[in-house]
Amino acid sequence: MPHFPILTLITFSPLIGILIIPFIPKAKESLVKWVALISTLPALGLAVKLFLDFDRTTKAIQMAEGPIDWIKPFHIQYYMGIDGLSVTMVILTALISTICIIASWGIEKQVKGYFTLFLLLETGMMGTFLALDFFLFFIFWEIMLLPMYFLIGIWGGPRREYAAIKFFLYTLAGSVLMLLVLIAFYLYSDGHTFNLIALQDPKLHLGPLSSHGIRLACWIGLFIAFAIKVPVFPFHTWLPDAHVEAPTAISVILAGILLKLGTYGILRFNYQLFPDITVELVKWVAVLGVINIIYGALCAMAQKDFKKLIAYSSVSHMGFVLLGIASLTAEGITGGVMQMFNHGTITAQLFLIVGIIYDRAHHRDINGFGGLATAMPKYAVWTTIAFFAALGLPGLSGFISEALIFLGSFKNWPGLTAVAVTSVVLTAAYMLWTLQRVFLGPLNEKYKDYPDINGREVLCLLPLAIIVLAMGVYPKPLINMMSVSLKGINEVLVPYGAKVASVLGM
Amino acid sequence: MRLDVLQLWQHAWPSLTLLIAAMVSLLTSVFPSRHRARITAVLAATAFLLSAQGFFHQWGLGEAKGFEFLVVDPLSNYLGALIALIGFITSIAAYPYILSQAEAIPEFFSLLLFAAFGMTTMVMTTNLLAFVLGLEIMSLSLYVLVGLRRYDPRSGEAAFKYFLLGSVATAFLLFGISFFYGSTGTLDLSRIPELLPNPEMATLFKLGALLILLGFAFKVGAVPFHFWAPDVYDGAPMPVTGFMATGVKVAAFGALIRVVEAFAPRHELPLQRWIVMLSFATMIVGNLVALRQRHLKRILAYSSIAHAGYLLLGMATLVGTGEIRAAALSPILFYLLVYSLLTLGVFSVLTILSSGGQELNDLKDLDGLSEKRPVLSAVLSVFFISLAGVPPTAGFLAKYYLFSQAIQVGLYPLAIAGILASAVSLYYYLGPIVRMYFHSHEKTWQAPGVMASLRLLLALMVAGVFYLGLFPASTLEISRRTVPIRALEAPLASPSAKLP
Amino acid sequence: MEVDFHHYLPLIFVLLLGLGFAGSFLLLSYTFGPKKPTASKLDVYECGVPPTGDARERFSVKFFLVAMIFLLFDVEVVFLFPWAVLLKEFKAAGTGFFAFGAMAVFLLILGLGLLYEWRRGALDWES
Repeated sequence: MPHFPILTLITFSPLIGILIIPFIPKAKESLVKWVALISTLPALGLAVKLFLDFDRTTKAIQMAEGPIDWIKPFHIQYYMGIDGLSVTMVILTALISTICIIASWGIEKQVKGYFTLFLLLETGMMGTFLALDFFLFFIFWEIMLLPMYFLIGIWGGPRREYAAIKFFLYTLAGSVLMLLVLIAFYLYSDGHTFNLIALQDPKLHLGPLSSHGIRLACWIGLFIAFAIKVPVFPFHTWLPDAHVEAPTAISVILAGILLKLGTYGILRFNYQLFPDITVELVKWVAVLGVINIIYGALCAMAQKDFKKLIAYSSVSHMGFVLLGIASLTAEGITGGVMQMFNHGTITAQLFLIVGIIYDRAHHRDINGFGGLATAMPKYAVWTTIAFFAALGLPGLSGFISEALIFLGSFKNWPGLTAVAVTSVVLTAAYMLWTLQRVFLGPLNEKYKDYPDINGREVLCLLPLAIIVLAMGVYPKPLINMMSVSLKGINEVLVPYGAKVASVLGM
Repeated sequence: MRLDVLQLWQHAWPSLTLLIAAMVSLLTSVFPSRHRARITAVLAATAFLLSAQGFFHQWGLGEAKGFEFLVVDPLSNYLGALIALIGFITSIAAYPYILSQAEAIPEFFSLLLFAAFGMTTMVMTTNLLAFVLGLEIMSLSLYVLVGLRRYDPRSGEAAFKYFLLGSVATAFLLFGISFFYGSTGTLDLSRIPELLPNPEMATLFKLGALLILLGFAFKVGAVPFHFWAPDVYDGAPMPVTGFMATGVKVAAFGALIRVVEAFAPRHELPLQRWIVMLSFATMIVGNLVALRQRHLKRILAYSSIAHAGYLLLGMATLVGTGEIRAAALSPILFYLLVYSLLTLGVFSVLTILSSGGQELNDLKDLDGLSEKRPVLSAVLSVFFISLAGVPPTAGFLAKYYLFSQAIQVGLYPLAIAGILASAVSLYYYLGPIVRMYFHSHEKTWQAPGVMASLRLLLALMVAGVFYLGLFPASTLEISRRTVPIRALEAPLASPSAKLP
Repeated sequence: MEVDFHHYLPLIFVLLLGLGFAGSFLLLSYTFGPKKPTASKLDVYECGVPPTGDARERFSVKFFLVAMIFLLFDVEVVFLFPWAVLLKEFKAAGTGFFAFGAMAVFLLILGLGLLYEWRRGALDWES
């Protein structure tokens, strides 16, 4: 039954802007910005509709479009669908994209190009979360790559060329591995299909794909491809460079959404296509998660650059996601996916905050500030909210997801969890220390006359802060939305020897 | 089947159109006119288009016929149409460039037509002598075209190098053909299946096959016979480089398909091993050496070498058995189409930029182009990115098709080497893009505006890049239905002919 | 394989005759001729051009042009002779018109080539 193609619209509606923007005269820059903003709104509206219409009681794919033949000779299909895993990510993407357009209002260089690429990026991100055909997923995955590369490379900071190429090459290396697995699936699946839902049936894996060695290789290939994006230690070195050089809005997108694609991919591909191997190797995922948590936190503590500090805090926080999904408990995985959402909203605020001060001071040296709370009191308040959310203060959303993750992972990995919990202290340490260095102490005379945070900046931060507060107090809508699907993912692992654990009876 | 004049015209008219147009356009110099360049350009473009249409029409008939020297089958028509289209695009893109040269050289179009005629001859035969004839008609015209900027010593040097090394390649080929003829008593490749094994001549036959293969390896620029390519590409005028990088590849690979098709059933030949070695070396060396290049045309030369490597990988796939062979031809044909489209796209833009009288040379020349010529920069970037094989463009799908077929027949190491090499290639394809977008501009651009026809053409080509990347099904179907002639009526059958 | 060498006897005879004739003349002039050697007389004969010098001598491109044109039309004649000899046989076989037409096309193309060369100034020595 053909129904309202909400997923196709949500993916491709930003392209409306791409069709219009090239024909706007170069001089009318604000018109370009308005067109870009307006063309992200349909996706945001549809995301709200998704939130309302989403059936929270089933783990099955909903609102599916397709599968219809797209490139028939290769058995490539157009197949979009949504479940509890992707729905939060889609909503997050729609929200962050709109906010980032507003945050990009100050762009002056090649305005048309910037917003065109930005909208293309949004389409790529949406498509990646929604595609249920491996090939389609790969195409959207690659579509994201180029706009990101240009957005960092053209509008970035002084070392933008280096950062852009590094980002590109790292991601590309992952793509190559993914491509190999993709070809393996095409050749050795029954019926040569790319359909991710169909491929979850292990009976479809034929020939070499049913041998343990090849499956192991495929799993590792996919994992590295996604681990680069997360980024998992030791594939993380592109991230600080990319973040530091990227313009504010792009850092927000990068940390808020792109990193989630890595953990999303692990859950969608590694967990569901190779559940046997996942159970076998999940211990190492947990270990990598803990390394990420501790290493990221320690690196963050050592930074002098405000933005780099936030970047490393992202590495640390994405480690929580890994630990959560590696717990193989319903709580842990739910906590992990929730952390993906929460980190998206929190880190977006953090990068916006860095952007705000950078716009005024044109540097990001933490030690170069001081006493800013006197000059910019409102700014200090917004910063404090975001920082407290990031360090997991109870009552804010970060706390909920971290608690769920620790709860879930302690069941299966008590030792690792114990190590990971120390990061709570480390995170609090670098966050509070940063707050102290930037906002407290004697006011640096240079910053005396800085204007406080303005309306546009508040407009960016406000929705995010509301979500952070709301989800901290009443996280149930979010948890309900994903828990059934995530439990389903976890149950698939059971026949392969995973202990299904449910601490809270979820 | 015996061939009379009428039949010749009936079946080969798309090719002969090019020949006639070539001669007529030479004659325009007999009646000098101010509009000579324009007349010849229009004549050439029309002839190319007519010829392409003719080839395509014949392809649609789906006939496969063999005459004495001439083979008209879907394969020849597909490649012929491709060559004619390459000529068409080149002649349109080159027009402003030719006008900008110190002395307008109307012979350019005539030579272009002659070269294209040679190319079509190469793909329309299974007779080795006709291959050589076509090859020479093509090469002689190209030697002159390469040296067209005769006041530029680098152009002259390139022409001379090309001439010497091209002659060596032809010598290889002729040497191999003479061995082949000596050991089999025939020049027609399609006769190979009927020939009985002759152990006395086994070594000669093997040597002949190897030398023929090497002769073509030379022409397609396969490592280690690639050394001429960077120098020649670098010195040749921009539109000629584009024409060489595409037309010669299509023609040489078309001929190579016939050779490989014919030799593949002879299991005593280690044909697959030879081609695998060539392909491996070509992909690796082409891509790695390209990383170190600073000259635009040298990058593109190594890029074309690398792409020859991918195509050779397709050839190695082709040397399979049974039904896989039929399936293995279509990725090569699709790749040739996509590669030609993308490479011509790059060269068309570079030709426009070189039309100000000064040849684009160093990568530095592209600095900040995006600020001065945003549309051209975007178009050029699309072609480069697609050449690197980034989805959702045609370049990705073509590579995907090629590599997945290679994996299917079990060429794992080669396919994985190819995929890795093509990932490396992204780095040097991004080089020009980095220059255009990330560097600020220093050069003042003198290139003139772009003709409306060329704009339309470029727009169509960009659309083609995405069309073939997103909706390739119908084009894939065309390439799948393009099969070479299998059984020929033996025209010069001599019953004593034997195969080792 | 048995080869009848008798057929080659006249050839060998002609060869010997030629060698003997030339050799005897050389021998005669060597023994009876007066010898007054000078530098130029002792020089190697090289069509009047000094036999030693730089190998990278530059020739006018006109020489090459003339040589190429000469070669082309010379080869044309090579094609014309067998055609002329065989034309009657073609006529007897009923394909005379085809043979005539083929040569006519060939000559037409060559003629057009000549016209082109002429108009483009390839035949002008002074320009």
